[in-house]
Amino acid sequence: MPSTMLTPEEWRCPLCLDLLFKPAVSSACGHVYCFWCLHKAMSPYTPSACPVCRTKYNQLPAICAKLHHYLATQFPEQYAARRQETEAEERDLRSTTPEPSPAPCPLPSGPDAWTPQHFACDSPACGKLLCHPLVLTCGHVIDAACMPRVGDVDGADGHASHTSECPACGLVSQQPAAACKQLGELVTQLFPEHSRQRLLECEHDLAAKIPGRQLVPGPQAHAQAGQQLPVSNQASEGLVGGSVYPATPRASAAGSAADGSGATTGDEGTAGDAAGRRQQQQQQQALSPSLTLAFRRRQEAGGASQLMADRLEANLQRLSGDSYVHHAVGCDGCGAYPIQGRRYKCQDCPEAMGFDLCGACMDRGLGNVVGRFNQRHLPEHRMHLCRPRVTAMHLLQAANPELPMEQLMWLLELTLTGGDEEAGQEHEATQPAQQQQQQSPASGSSSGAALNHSDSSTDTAVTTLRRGPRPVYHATAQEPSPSAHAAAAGGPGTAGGAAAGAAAAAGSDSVQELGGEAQGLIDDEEEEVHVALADLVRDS
Amino acid sequence: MEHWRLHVGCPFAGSSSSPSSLQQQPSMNNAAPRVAASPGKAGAPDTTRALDTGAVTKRLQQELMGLMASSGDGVSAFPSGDSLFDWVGTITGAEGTAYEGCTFRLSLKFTSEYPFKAPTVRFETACFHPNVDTFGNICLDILKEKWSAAYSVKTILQSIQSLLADPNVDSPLNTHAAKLWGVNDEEYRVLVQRAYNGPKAA
Repeated sequence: MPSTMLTPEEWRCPLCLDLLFKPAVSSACGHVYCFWCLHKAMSPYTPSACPVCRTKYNQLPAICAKLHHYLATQFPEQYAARRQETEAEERDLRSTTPEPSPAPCPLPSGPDAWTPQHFACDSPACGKLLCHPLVLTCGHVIDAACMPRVGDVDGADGHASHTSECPACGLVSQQPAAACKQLGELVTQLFPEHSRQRLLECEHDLAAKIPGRQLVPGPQAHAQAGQQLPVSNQASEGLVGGSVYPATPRASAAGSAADGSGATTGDEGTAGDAAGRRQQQQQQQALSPSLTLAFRRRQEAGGASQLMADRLEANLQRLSGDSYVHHAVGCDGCGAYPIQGRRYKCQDCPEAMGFDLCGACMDRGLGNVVGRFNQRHLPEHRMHLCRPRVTAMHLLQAANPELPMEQLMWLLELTLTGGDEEAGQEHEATQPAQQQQQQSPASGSSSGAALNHSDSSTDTAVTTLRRGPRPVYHATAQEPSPSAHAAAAGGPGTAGGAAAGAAAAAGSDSVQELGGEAQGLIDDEEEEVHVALADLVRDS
Repeated sequence: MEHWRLHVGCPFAGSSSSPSSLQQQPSMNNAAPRVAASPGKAGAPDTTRALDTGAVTKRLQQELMGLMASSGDGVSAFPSGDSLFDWVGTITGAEGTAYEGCTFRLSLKFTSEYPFKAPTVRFETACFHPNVDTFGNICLDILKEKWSAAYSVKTILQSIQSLLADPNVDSPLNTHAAKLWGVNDEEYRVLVQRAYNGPKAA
């Protein structure tokens, strides 16, 4: 009988469309990717969304050894070819990924000679055939029945930091895992009889463990009817379906972050002035001297720019507080990416990317953990606490607290790529832009007033940013597009480019010229903040 | 781990203490494949190295093979020249819509960051539509902030095809089309045809 899960077509990475290599499973939803593909797809600023189902996840999972061994044995030639490719890529990136730990029992000599031992639960207490395989962030595959209380956090406090601990290694996942359907399907196809028995057993265990849990009739009913039905839908939904887990609150989300920082100050400070003092201390820590100076200067200026500076500063304080996000830095212990809160960096690891731990992993004393990228970290290495630093992305966040991170990233992207066609001119461009900026806050304060800078056609910065149709990623200068779109330069259809301009450098007058189309993107007030941001960036 | 180089277009080093890096950002050279910006940290590797384009080429080849194997959904695409990074796609308007019988040409430009960054997609054939401007730019969330690396050329073209039949009039690029949509079907249809057939047919 044809077993679909035994062909390489079923094991393609949704991102590179090739055979999975060193598979990693996004544990919150159970989708499988190549380790590198999954890492590249992660957002450096915010919890990432699974490319397939958009489930938020915030931990870079380790390679799943079980799947790795399966693929390497089942499809030896293709896997070897993939290894070669990936290793060449790794040489370019100058990072390597660890080899998964060897299989606990000898692997079969050839494809299609699998035994249930090869697909046993990694929990030391279980060791039986998997039936609801949860691939955790540590790469261990644990049967749902063996997980300590997975799936019952529906309390009043939906935001409780529900964690699940791996019975094999003790690593804590920040999100409850969902069953990996592909692996479940494979096991069912390989051992139909055995897995049917196990399904019954597991259901029983789970029902006993979680009071009020209903038995899921789906899989067994079908299995008993003698059909080869994968564990898939019903089973996994039965596991996680009952409770909807909120995605980890995003640090960038203005409201929740504000609540969060408010709550923490509230907890610690009994009196108002204590909280105030603490905030002041924090401020001194968080914001760099030059930035603080810039704020002071703005505040002294009075009027609208004072308001802007106050608002920006307050937002920045909030972003650099306890929930500060270390963009593009991941924890090598639990895989949290980006790290939020405390971050410890190894001072002795020689690798360029370094070795970092989040506060929780540091507290747990993960001295000799193998980094996600084979860093040669040793327990005696010195770790130091990294201070929050305000980067331009944080500034952008502070200036636009109401925008979701996706849009900020888009803005940033436009800012950086909008001027592509004149990459060489970027340096000259900053000068006129600055001159213009100095005038802007004054005239910009009267919000509706006509900002008549448009006649300064020499202003290369503005032209740069306004030029080109809007989502210019990589306009190829060598092969100019023959289309009529080149005529779009300076035209009114360039709202996005101008928005970016307003956000970062050029500011007011491009907005003015855009008329109605850009209004959805930038309102007057925001525009002022953008100008202030640009101003601050320049000042400091 | 600190991985700026994977996330191209981030000149803001984690270690730079002041945001002044905004001005120090290296000028992005568009002729060469996109490179990572400097992480600005002592001892950091030279990240001006181009990201490997081999993986991108491979993925695009895979997609091309897939598209050639399953043609006939009203969408097709093919590399336009020697480069695998520039494609031309065609979409036929769905039956029962104002776009029925029209075949639109689109250009797709990929970067070396594909599929982690969306390609630039534009109508080459004039298209009268609330979410398409006169230059062919398309306002579609999945080409911007809602982009996912699991999307492909085929899904992009299919999304645009369904966008034709089901425009989002709340964020129009062409306000005239947005006003007419669902209000004056007759005139809308005429304007679609007029744009499609070119000004001479007007």
